[in-house]
Amino acid sequence: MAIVEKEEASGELEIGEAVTSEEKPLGAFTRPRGGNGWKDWLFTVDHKKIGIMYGAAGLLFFVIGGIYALFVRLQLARPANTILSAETYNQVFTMHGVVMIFLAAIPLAAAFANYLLPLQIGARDVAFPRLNAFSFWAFLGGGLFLLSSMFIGGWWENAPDGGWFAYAPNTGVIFSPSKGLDFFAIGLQITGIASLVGAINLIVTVLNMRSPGMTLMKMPVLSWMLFIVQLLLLFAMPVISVALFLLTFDRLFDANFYNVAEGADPLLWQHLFWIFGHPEVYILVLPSFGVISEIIPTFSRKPIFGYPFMVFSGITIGFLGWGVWAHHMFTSGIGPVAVAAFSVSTMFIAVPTGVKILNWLATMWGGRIRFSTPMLYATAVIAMFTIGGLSGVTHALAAADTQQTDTYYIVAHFHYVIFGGIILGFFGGFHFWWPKMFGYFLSEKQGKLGFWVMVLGFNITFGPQHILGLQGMSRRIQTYSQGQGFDLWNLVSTIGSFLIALATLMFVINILTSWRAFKAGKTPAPGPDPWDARSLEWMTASPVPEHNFDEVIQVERQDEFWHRKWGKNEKGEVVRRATAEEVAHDGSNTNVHLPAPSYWPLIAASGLPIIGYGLVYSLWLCIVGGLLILGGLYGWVFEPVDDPNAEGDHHDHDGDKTNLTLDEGSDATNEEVAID
Amino acid sequence: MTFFKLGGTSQIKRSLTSRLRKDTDMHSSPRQYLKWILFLTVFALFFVTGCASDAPLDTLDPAGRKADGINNLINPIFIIAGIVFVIIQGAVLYIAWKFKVKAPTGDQDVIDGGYTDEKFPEQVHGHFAAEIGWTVGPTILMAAIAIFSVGVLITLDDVDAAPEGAPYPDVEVLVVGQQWWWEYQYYLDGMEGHSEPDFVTANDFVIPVKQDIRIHATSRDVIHSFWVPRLNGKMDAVPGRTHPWVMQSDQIGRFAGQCTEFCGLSHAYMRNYTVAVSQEDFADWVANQLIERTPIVEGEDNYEGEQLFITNCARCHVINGVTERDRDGTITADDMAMYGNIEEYRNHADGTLGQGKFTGEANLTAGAAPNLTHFATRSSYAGSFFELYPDAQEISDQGGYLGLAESDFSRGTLEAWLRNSPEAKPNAQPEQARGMPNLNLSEAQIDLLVDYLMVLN
Repeated sequence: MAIVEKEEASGELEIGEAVTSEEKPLGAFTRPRGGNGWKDWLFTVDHKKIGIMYGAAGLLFFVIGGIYALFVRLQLARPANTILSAETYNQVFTMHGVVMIFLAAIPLAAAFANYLLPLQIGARDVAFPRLNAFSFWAFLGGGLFLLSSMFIGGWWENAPDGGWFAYAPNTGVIFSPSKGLDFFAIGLQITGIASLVGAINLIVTVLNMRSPGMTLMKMPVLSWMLFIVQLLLLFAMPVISVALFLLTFDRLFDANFYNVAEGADPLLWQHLFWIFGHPEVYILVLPSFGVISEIIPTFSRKPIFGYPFMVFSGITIGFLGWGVWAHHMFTSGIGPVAVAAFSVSTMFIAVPTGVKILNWLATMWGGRIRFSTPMLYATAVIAMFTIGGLSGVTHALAAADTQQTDTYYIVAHFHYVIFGGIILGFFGGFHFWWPKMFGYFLSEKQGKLGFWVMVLGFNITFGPQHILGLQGMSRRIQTYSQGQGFDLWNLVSTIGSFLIALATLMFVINILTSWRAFKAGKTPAPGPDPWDARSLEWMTASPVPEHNFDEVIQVERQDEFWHRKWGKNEKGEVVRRATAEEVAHDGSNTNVHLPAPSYWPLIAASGLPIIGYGLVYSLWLCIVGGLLILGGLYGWVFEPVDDPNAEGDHHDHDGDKTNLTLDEGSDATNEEVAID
Repeated sequence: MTFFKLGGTSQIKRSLTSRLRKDTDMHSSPRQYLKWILFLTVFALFFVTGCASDAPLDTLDPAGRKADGINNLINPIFIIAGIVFVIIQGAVLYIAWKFKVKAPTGDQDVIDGGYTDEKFPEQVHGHFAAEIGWTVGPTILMAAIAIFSVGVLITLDDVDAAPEGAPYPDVEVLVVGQQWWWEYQYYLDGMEGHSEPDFVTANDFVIPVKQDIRIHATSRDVIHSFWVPRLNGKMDAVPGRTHPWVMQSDQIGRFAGQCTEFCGLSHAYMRNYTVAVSQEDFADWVANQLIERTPIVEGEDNYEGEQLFITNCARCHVINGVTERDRDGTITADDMAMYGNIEEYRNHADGTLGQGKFTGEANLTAGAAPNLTHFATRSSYAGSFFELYPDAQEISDQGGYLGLAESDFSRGTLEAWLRNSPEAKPNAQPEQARGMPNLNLSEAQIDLLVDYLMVLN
């Protein structure tokens, strides 16, 4: 097969004369070719492959962060437990927070954004495909760099131990002399670069690459939420970058930004951290809101209720999210005026979230609701996020928050928001888009069982933590004493956490067994549109072909795909216009010009963690890392542009005999600018 | 491409349609929702039973004016939240029950989610008035709660005049957090115009009952948070800043506290007790605290114990009249030597030491340990993690705090602490010179020291 031959050629990274100029006139800068091997994943610039890799990495980190959580719960299962020493416990709970927020929740949201955003707006790829690949590899490098702190210099000797919030001055060298917080600061800096680059990429994509006719107010709600999230990332990431740079300079180069002895005010860190940290909450939750805004209309067989209100409440949340950061600091001593102002602004953020909840319920109202696994998860998000929102209102009351903050009541609150509102939504999204992404169904039976175990385990874990917090159990404590009244609910909570672990395991098993059942022909292929869905990603084959759509989709309405399937008769009843199979593209167009794979994003991104190790251990390594980045960027700039007629150019179904002349219609996707 | 040839789902759907059309519009029986109802009932029961159990740090069991104010604020909010909770969860369950269509069953498991018919409900896109309603409604509710809340907030820090006849109506206390214990510097006439406290104590925070005590929270090292849930909310103790706060108890008793801002290795073990005593007892307690000790003369009881204290403990601990407080929050090279090898201290590649380098000059590293002048009068030690008197809670609650020294003390625990304190409480960090190190005392020395400590009343 021709494919194999090309793959071999693409595998050679060496710069040299071995490559004859006859075959490869561009020498080292020849771009790799498509294929199906591992190299295709390493060098891919396809937003779908990158999205899947984000998802896989996010799930992997979710499992790792979950294992940390189980150890935390085991340690707290009984009073005066000795499973983890105080030293290890502090590292484990820090890693749990950091991994779950930065390495699980953000990349899972990025997975949905990468995979679905271009599809939902009818684009062929993101605006800057190589930059997209760079984002992913930088994220993965930063994540692995952070995790390597567990092993380097001894088992659990150098993991960060300052909490995910890393309050100064406890993060200074004097109070945390291990190298853990260096790993923390630099690791998050690298993943921050990934988020920032990705945000710019997706913002440009949304603004410039929508299908003709798809005005902003015709975009699906998920696309809108993801778009808002990228804007939040664009402005939030630089703040945390600054905070982390100051910390890094304090720790490595004897700067005094947070050194109280030299007159620094440690509240500087808190302000910087939470100006990033609070929008971060909405960065995580809005994608999940978007996901269930796709699932609920589909399974209710109704359009989303109050589309403009859904969009604008999302925008409002995005804006208000910048004005509430100091509600994390009600007891930090910022003064009663500031506390009162932030207390009031925090209360009003409940309004747009409430609007969303009521709109979802109104969407379901009067519908014909089918409770498939994705819909179960989406419904659970409404119910569970509401609990998190209500407990949130109770500590928006600043006076009451002086009792509640830094107790397990807060732990319960944000787990209801982050797990109940975000992770459950993402699991719903997995079940919903799985057939689209991978071309086979996840088992409903297993999915539903897993859902109930998950929701039950979640409530058993975090429900009792409300009680623990109100009974006065502090956060981040490694132990408690008998007689403090914490014994029972901690044990219950620990049992619940293992149910969550079981549910996660069931999800993984579902993936594997459903795949085997599909391969064995026991389950049907899903077709382009298994759920009778509404947005454009369902208008192409499953799994989505590399070129996404066979031709440019002319969008006339919101929910364009649904309207092509269904119309109304003279009595106003919904009647079928066409089947999904008739409307959807079958992915057979082999003539779509695609961005070619590239070595350079991976090479450039790999320099980042090497610089990180260099900063921590030996500055010489920074030169190596710097050279990799420089070399990567050099290659990036000088590798050939996409010339559709040149040898080495990339098309979908590479290896097939492709017609190299351009079909005007099919190439228009990228060029058409549709801003209104 | 292959999906088409396999027939697609629509065929399967159509075949199912005829089979299941009858079922699809039937609502499932309420029995199916039994698990939901059961689940929510159990959940609610959890709360009711959970809150009833005895917890010394309970935030919902106020014993002071300030905690009471907070409790009165939060209780109606819990009720409002409870009502909204019931409405939303009820709506979710009702909608799920009312508008559910039954899924096909059997071996078509995987395509459960697909609709087997072509029936559609009314296609409602929205309702402008409803949207405005549920935007404006919650806004008004939130505004009302906000006004209510800010009203409590701005009075939270007020100090009322002391009751008639209070011996120290202007007493103020500088509460200093340090890894991992609390120090209390008493200014009997208020902090204004005074640079030195009248006396210094640790772990047990003694206040007169029914009097608002102005405290100022600060820290010597990292951020801590001073919290006695039954008396008031928490206030962070931030190095370089002092934050005003108020402590007040309506009743005589001993109230547990816990540091709630993560402060490093031994955060969980950093506790405190706030003890409210009667105004008369407070005057007596203050009078006793003001007494300085005189060194024990050779030949008298506990002379050896005191000498042991001076050679082993006085580097960090002070006993007024016996040892000097010659430094404030700093440590010396000798102090460092107790923790082990200074070379282990973090080095930079160029041979210089990092920010936390030990210079012998003042830095933020803790060096001053609790003042032990009246050790035996306190109910707890080592960041209040250990009880000196096992019956302290009962005795203090009955107003007998000043007579604690007459009750039995836990000798074994105190000996264990002196034997190897890092084992009893994870607190010694050699590379940071904080917490009490293992002093490698002999059993005989420990006995002598315990005897000596227990006469410090």
